[in-house]
Amino acid sequence: MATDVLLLVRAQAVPTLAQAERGVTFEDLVRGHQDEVYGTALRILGDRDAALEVANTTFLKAYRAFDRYDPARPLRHWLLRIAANEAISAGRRITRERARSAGPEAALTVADAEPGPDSVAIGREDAAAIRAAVLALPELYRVPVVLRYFNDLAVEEIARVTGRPASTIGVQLLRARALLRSALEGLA
Amino acid sequence: MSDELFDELRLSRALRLDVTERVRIDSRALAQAAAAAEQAQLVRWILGTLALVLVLPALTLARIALTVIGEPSLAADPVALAAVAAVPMLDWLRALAQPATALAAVAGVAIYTAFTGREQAHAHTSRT
Repeated sequence: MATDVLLLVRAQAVPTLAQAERGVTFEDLVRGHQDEVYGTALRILGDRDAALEVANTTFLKAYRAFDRYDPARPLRHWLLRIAANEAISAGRRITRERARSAGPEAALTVADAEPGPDSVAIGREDAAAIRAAVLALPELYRVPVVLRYFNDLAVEEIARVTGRPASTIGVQLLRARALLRSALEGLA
Repeated sequence: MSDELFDELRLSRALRLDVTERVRIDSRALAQAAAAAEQAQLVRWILGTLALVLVLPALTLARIALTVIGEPSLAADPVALAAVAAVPMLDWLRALAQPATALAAVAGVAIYTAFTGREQAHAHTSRT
Protein backbone atom coordinates (compact mmCIF):
# COMPACT_ATOMS: atom_id res chain seq x y z
CA MET A 1 0.00 0.00 0.00
CA ALA A 2 1.41 3.35 -1.09
CA THR A 3 0.60 5.12 2.15
CA ASP A 4 2.59 2.58 4.14
CA VAL A 5 5.91 3.78 2.82
CA LEU A 6 5.22 7.43 3.37
CA LEU A 7 6.11 9.09 6.60
CA LEU A 8 3.00 9.79 8.59
CA VAL A 9 2.98 12.75 10.88
CA ARG A 10 0.55 13.37 13.61
CA ALA A 11 -1.50 15.93 11.76
CA GLN A 12 -3.92 18.17 13.62
CA ALA A 13 -7.45 18.80 12.37
CA VAL A 14 -6.08 21.65 10.27
CA PRO A 15 -2.57 20.67 9.13
CA THR A 16 -0.17 23.55 8.78
CA LEU A 17 2.83 21.89 7.18
CA ALA A 18 3.29 21.58 3.44
CA GLN A 19 2.04 18.33 1.91
CA ALA A 20 5.53 17.22 0.94
CA GLU A 21 6.85 17.73 4.47
CA ARG A 22 4.04 16.15 6.38
CA GLY A 23 3.56 13.07 4.19
CA VAL A 24 0.24 11.48 5.02
CA THR A 25 -2.17 13.32 7.29
CA PHE A 26 -4.39 11.73 9.88
CA GLU A 27 -7.29 12.39 7.51
CA ASP A 28 -5.50 10.47 4.74
CA LEU A 29 -4.79 7.65 7.16
CA VAL A 30 -8.46 7.36 8.13
CA ARG A 31 -9.73 7.67 4.57
CA GLY A 32 -7.26 5.10 3.30
CA HIS A 33 -7.87 2.47 5.95
CA GLN A 34 -11.41 3.03 7.27
CA ASP A 35 -13.02 0.26 5.20
CA GLU A 36 -10.40 -2.26 6.17
CA VAL A 37 -10.37 -1.37 9.87
CA TYR A 38 -14.16 -1.19 10.10
CA GLY A 39 -14.57 -4.35 8.02
CA THR A 40 -12.14 -6.29 10.20
CA ALA A 41 -14.08 -5.30 13.30
CA LEU A 42 -17.40 -6.05 11.63
CA ARG A 43 -16.34 -9.52 10.50
CA ILE A 44 -14.92 -10.33 13.94
CA LEU A 45 -17.89 -8.95 15.88
CA GLY A 46 -20.85 -9.21 13.51
CA ASP A 47 -22.31 -6.03 14.95
CA ARG A 48 -22.21 -2.75 13.01
CA ASP A 49 -22.44 -0.39 15.97
CA ALA A 50 -19.77 -2.23 17.91
CA ALA A 51 -17.59 -2.38 14.78
CA LEU A 52 -17.94 1.36 14.25
CA GLU A 53 -16.98 2.00 17.84
CA VAL A 54 -13.96 -0.28 17.45
CA ALA A 55 -12.93 1.52 14.25
CA ASN A 56 -13.19 4.91 15.95
CA THR A 57 -11.23 3.69 18.96
CA THR A 58 -8.59 2.22 16.66
CA PHE A 59 -8.01 5.51 14.84
CA LEU A 60 -8.11 7.49 18.08
CA LYS A 61 -5.48 5.19 19.57
CA ALA A 62 -3.41 5.44 16.40
CA TYR A 63 -3.62 9.22 16.61
CA ARG A 64 -2.53 9.27 20.23
CA ALA A 65 0.14 6.59 19.92
CA PHE A 66 1.69 7.82 16.71
CA ASP A 67 4.82 8.88 18.59
CA ARG A 68 5.39 5.20 19.40
CA TYR A 69 4.74 3.95 15.86
CA ASP A 70 7.78 2.49 14.11
CA PRO A 71 7.70 3.81 10.51
CA ALA A 72 9.88 0.88 9.41
CA ARG A 73 6.89 -1.40 9.90
CA PRO A 74 3.81 -1.35 7.66
CA LEU A 75 1.18 1.09 8.82
CA ARG A 76 -1.56 -1.32 7.74
CA HIS A 77 -0.31 -4.06 10.07
CA TRP A 78 -0.06 -1.62 12.94
CA LEU A 79 -3.65 -0.46 12.45
CA LEU A 80 -4.93 -4.00 12.01
CA ARG A 81 -3.19 -5.07 15.18
CA ILE A 82 -4.93 -2.30 17.15
CA ALA A 83 -8.25 -3.05 15.42
CA ALA A 84 -8.07 -6.81 16.04
CA ASN A 85 -7.18 -6.33 19.70
CA GLU A 86 -9.95 -3.77 20.14
CA ALA A 87 -12.45 -6.06 18.42
CA ILE A 88 -11.46 -8.98 20.65
CA SER A 89 -11.88 -6.83 23.76
CA ALA A 90 -15.22 -5.47 22.51
CA GLY A 91 -16.43 -8.99 21.69
CA ARG A 92 -15.60 -10.22 25.17
CA ARG A 93 -17.28 -7.19 26.71
CA ILE A 94 -20.43 -7.72 24.61
CA THR A 95 -20.53 -11.41 25.53
CA ARG A 96 -20.20 -10.55 29.23
CA GLU A 97 -22.94 -7.93 29.00
CA ARG A 98 -25.29 -10.27 27.16
CA ALA A 99 -24.61 -13.04 29.63
CA ARG A 100 -25.36 -10.64 32.48
CA SER A 101 -28.59 -9.29 30.99
CA ALA A 102 -29.95 -12.56 29.58
CA GLY A 103 -29.54 -16.30 29.80
CA PRO A 104 -26.39 -18.11 28.65
CA GLU A 105 -28.04 -19.07 25.31
CA ALA A 106 -28.49 -15.41 24.39
CA ALA A 107 -24.79 -14.74 24.90
CA LEU A 108 -24.03 -17.15 22.09
CA THR A 109 -26.33 -15.60 19.52
CA VAL A 110 -24.73 -13.51 16.83
CA ALA A 111 -25.99 -10.02 16.19
CA ASP A 112 -26.36 -8.29 12.85
CA ALA A 113 -25.04 -11.09 10.69
CA GLU A 114 -27.32 -9.94 7.93
CA PRO A 115 -25.44 -9.41 4.67
CA GLY A 116 -25.78 -6.62 2.14
CA PRO A 117 -26.52 -7.02 -1.57
CA ASP A 118 -23.21 -8.54 -2.64
CA SER A 119 -23.77 -10.33 -5.90
CA VAL A 120 -20.17 -11.08 -6.87
CA ALA A 121 -20.41 -14.71 -7.95
CA ILE A 122 -21.83 -15.74 -4.63
CA GLY A 123 -25.43 -15.94 -3.59
CA ARG A 124 -26.80 -13.68 -0.92
CA GLU A 125 -27.90 -16.57 1.29
CA ASP A 126 -24.63 -18.36 0.71
CA ALA A 127 -22.66 -15.31 1.86
CA ALA A 128 -24.92 -14.89 4.88
CA ALA A 129 -24.42 -18.51 5.87
CA ILE A 130 -20.65 -18.25 5.50
CA ARG A 131 -20.52 -15.02 7.52
CA ALA A 132 -22.68 -16.56 10.23
CA ALA A 133 -20.42 -19.64 10.29
CA VAL A 134 -17.33 -17.41 10.62
CA LEU A 135 -18.98 -15.50 13.47
CA ALA A 136 -19.77 -18.79 15.19
CA LEU A 137 -16.10 -19.81 15.17
CA PRO A 138 -14.20 -19.57 18.46
CA GLU A 139 -12.43 -16.22 18.76
CA LEU A 140 -9.06 -18.00 18.56
CA TYR A 141 -9.86 -19.11 14.99
CA ARG A 142 -12.12 -16.24 13.92
CA VAL A 143 -9.45 -13.55 14.08
CA PRO A 144 -6.94 -15.38 11.80
CA VAL A 145 -9.78 -16.29 9.41
CA VAL A 146 -10.87 -12.66 9.11
CA LEU A 147 -7.29 -11.45 8.68
CA ARG A 148 -6.67 -14.12 6.05
CA TYR A 149 -9.87 -14.01 4.03
CA PHE A 150 -11.15 -10.48 4.60
CA ASN A 151 -7.85 -8.59 4.84
CA ASP A 152 -6.07 -11.00 2.48
CA LEU A 153 -2.97 -11.20 4.70
CA ALA A 154 -0.39 -13.96 4.33
CA VAL A 155 0.20 -16.34 7.24
CA GLU A 156 3.42 -14.54 8.22
CA GLU A 157 1.62 -11.18 8.19
CA ILE A 158 -1.17 -12.56 10.38
CA ALA A 159 1.49 -13.85 12.76
CA ARG A 160 2.98 -10.35 12.99
CA VAL A 161 -0.42 -8.72 13.51
CA THR A 162 -1.64 -11.17 16.15
CA GLY A 163 1.72 -11.81 17.81
CA ARG A 164 1.23 -15.57 17.43
CA PRO A 165 3.79 -17.87 15.75
CA ALA A 166 3.25 -18.43 12.02
CA SER A 167 3.05 -22.19 12.53
CA THR A 168 0.25 -21.69 15.07
CA ILE A 169 -1.63 -19.47 12.63
CA GLY A 170 -1.27 -22.13 9.94
CA VAL A 171 -2.78 -24.77 12.22
CA GLN A 172 -5.53 -22.42 13.38
CA LEU A 173 -6.51 -21.63 9.80
CA LEU A 174 -6.55 -25.33 8.97
CA ARG A 175 -8.82 -26.12 11.92
CA ALA A 176 -11.01 -23.11 11.20
CA ARG A 177 -11.53 -24.23 7.62
CA ALA A 178 -12.44 -27.72 8.83
CA LEU A 179 -14.96 -26.25 11.27
CA LEU A 180 -16.40 -24.01 8.57
CA ARG A 181 -16.63 -26.89 6.13
CA SER A 182 -18.58 -29.01 8.61
CA ALA A 183 -20.78 -26.05 9.58
CA LEU A 184 -21.54 -25.31 5.95
CA GLU A 185 -22.15 -28.90 4.91
CA GLY A 186 -25.16 -29.05 2.68
CA LEU A 187 -24.52 -25.63 1.26
CA ALA A 188 -23.84 -26.04 -2.45
CA MET B 1 -10.21 -26.28 -8.86
CA SER B 2 -9.53 -28.14 -5.60
CA ASP B 3 -12.07 -28.10 -2.78
CA GLU B 4 -9.60 -26.26 -0.56
CA LEU B 5 -9.09 -23.47 -3.07
CA PHE B 6 -12.81 -23.29 -3.72
CA ASP B 7 -13.46 -22.94 0.02
CA GLU B 8 -10.93 -20.14 0.26
CA LEU B 9 -12.40 -18.26 -2.69
CA ARG B 10 -15.90 -18.61 -1.28
CA LEU B 11 -14.72 -17.38 2.09
CA SER B 12 -12.97 -14.35 0.62
CA ARG B 13 -15.98 -13.42 -1.46
CA ALA B 14 -18.46 -13.91 1.35
CA LEU B 15 -16.47 -11.78 3.77
CA ARG B 16 -16.11 -8.81 1.42
CA LEU B 17 -17.62 -5.57 2.63
CA ASP B 18 -20.87 -4.76 0.87
CA VAL B 19 -21.56 -1.25 -0.38
CA THR B 20 -24.30 -0.87 2.22
CA GLU B 21 -21.90 -1.84 4.98
CA ARG B 22 -19.37 0.91 4.34
CA VAL B 23 -19.05 3.75 6.82
CA ARG B 24 -17.38 7.13 6.88
CA ILE B 25 -15.24 7.82 9.91
CA ASP B 26 -15.04 11.49 10.80
CA SER B 27 -11.29 12.02 11.12
CA ARG B 28 -11.66 15.68 12.09
CA ALA B 29 -14.01 14.80 14.94
CA LEU B 30 -11.54 12.15 16.11
CA ALA B 31 -8.60 14.55 15.96
CA GLN B 32 -10.62 17.17 17.82
CA ALA B 33 -11.70 14.59 20.40
CA ALA B 34 -8.08 13.55 20.94
CA ALA B 35 -6.96 17.17 21.28
CA ALA B 36 -9.85 17.94 23.64
CA ALA B 37 -9.03 14.87 25.74
CA GLU B 38 -5.40 15.96 26.00
CA GLN B 39 -6.45 19.46 27.08
CA ALA B 40 -8.95 18.07 29.56
CA GLN B 41 -6.26 15.82 31.00
CA LEU B 42 -3.95 18.80 31.46
CA VAL B 43 -6.71 20.83 33.08
CA ARG B 44 -7.52 17.93 35.43
CA TRP B 45 -3.87 17.64 36.39
CA ILE B 46 -3.62 21.38 37.09
CA LEU B 47 -6.87 21.38 39.07
CA GLY B 48 -5.76 18.32 41.02
CA THR B 49 -2.44 19.93 41.88
CA LEU B 50 -4.15 23.18 42.86
CA ALA B 51 -6.62 21.29 45.01
CA LEU B 52 -3.79 19.51 46.76
CA VAL B 53 -1.92 22.78 47.28
CA LEU B 54 -5.07 24.44 48.65
CA VAL B 55 -6.40 21.51 50.68
CA LEU B 56 -3.22 20.96 52.64
CA PRO B 57 -3.08 24.50 54.10
CA ALA B 58 -6.85 24.46 54.70
CA LEU B 59 -6.61 21.22 56.67
CA THR B 60 -3.64 22.58 58.56
CA LEU B 61 -5.51 25.77 59.48
CA ALA B 62 -8.52 23.73 60.56
CA ARG B 63 -6.29 21.59 62.74
CA ILE B 64 -4.68 24.65 64.31
CA ALA B 65 -8.11 26.19 64.93
CA LEU B 66 -9.42 23.02 66.57
CA THR B 67 -6.29 22.76 68.70
CA VAL B 68 -6.59 26.39 69.84
CA ILE B 69 -10.30 25.92 70.64
CA GLY B 70 -9.45 22.88 72.74
CA GLU B 71 -6.45 24.46 74.41
CA PRO B 72 -6.64 28.32 74.23
CA SER B 73 -3.32 28.73 76.02
CA LEU B 74 -1.53 27.36 72.90
CA ALA B 75 -2.64 30.41 70.90
CA ALA B 76 0.12 32.47 72.50
CA ASP B 77 2.79 29.85 71.70
CA PRO B 78 3.91 30.10 68.05
CA VAL B 79 6.29 27.15 68.35
CA ALA B 80 3.50 24.87 69.56
CA LEU B 81 1.22 26.06 66.74
CA ALA B 82 3.98 25.43 64.20
CA ALA B 83 4.39 21.93 65.58
CA VAL B 84 0.64 21.32 65.36
CA ALA B 85 0.76 22.39 61.70
CA ALA B 86 3.98 20.63 60.77
CA VAL B 87 3.34 17.18 62.24
CA PRO B 88 0.29 16.25 60.15
CA MET B 89 1.77 17.85 57.01
CA LEU B 90 4.90 15.78 57.41
CA ASP B 91 2.76 12.70 57.96
CA TRP B 92 0.83 13.34 54.74
CA LEU B 93 3.97 14.03 52.76
CA ARG B 94 5.57 10.87 54.14
CA ALA B 95 2.48 8.88 53.16
CA LEU B 96 2.65 10.30 49.62
CA ALA B 97 6.31 9.31 49.39
CA GLN B 98 5.47 5.65 50.07
CA PRO B 99 5.79 3.57 46.86
CA ALA B 100 2.48 1.79 47.41
CA THR B 101 0.59 5.06 47.81
CA ALA B 102 2.29 6.61 44.79
CA LEU B 103 1.63 3.50 42.67
CA ALA B 104 -2.01 3.43 43.76
CA ALA B 105 -2.37 7.09 42.81
CA VAL B 106 -0.77 6.52 39.39
CA ALA B 107 -2.94 3.43 38.80
CA GLY B 108 -6.03 5.42 39.73
CA VAL B 109 -5.15 8.20 37.31
CA ALA B 110 -4.33 5.66 34.54
CA ILE B 111 -7.66 3.86 34.97
CA TYR B 112 -9.56 7.14 35.03
CA THR B 113 -7.73 8.38 31.92
CA ALA B 114 -8.36 5.14 30.04
CA PHE B 115 -12.03 5.26 30.97
CA THR B 116 -12.50 8.88 29.89
CA GLY B 117 -10.56 8.21 26.67
CA ARG B 118 -12.94 5.39 25.78
CA GLU B 119 -15.91 7.64 26.50
CA GLN B 120 -14.46 10.36 24.26
CA ALA B 121 -13.99 7.86 21.44
CA HIS B 122 -17.55 6.70 21.84
CA ALA B 123 -18.95 10.22 21.93
CA HIS B 124 -17.24 11.39 18.76
CA THR B 125 -18.41 8.87 16.22
CA SER B 126 -20.21 9.41 12.98
CA ARG B 127 -21.84 7.11 10.52
CA THR B 128 -23.13 7.55 7.03
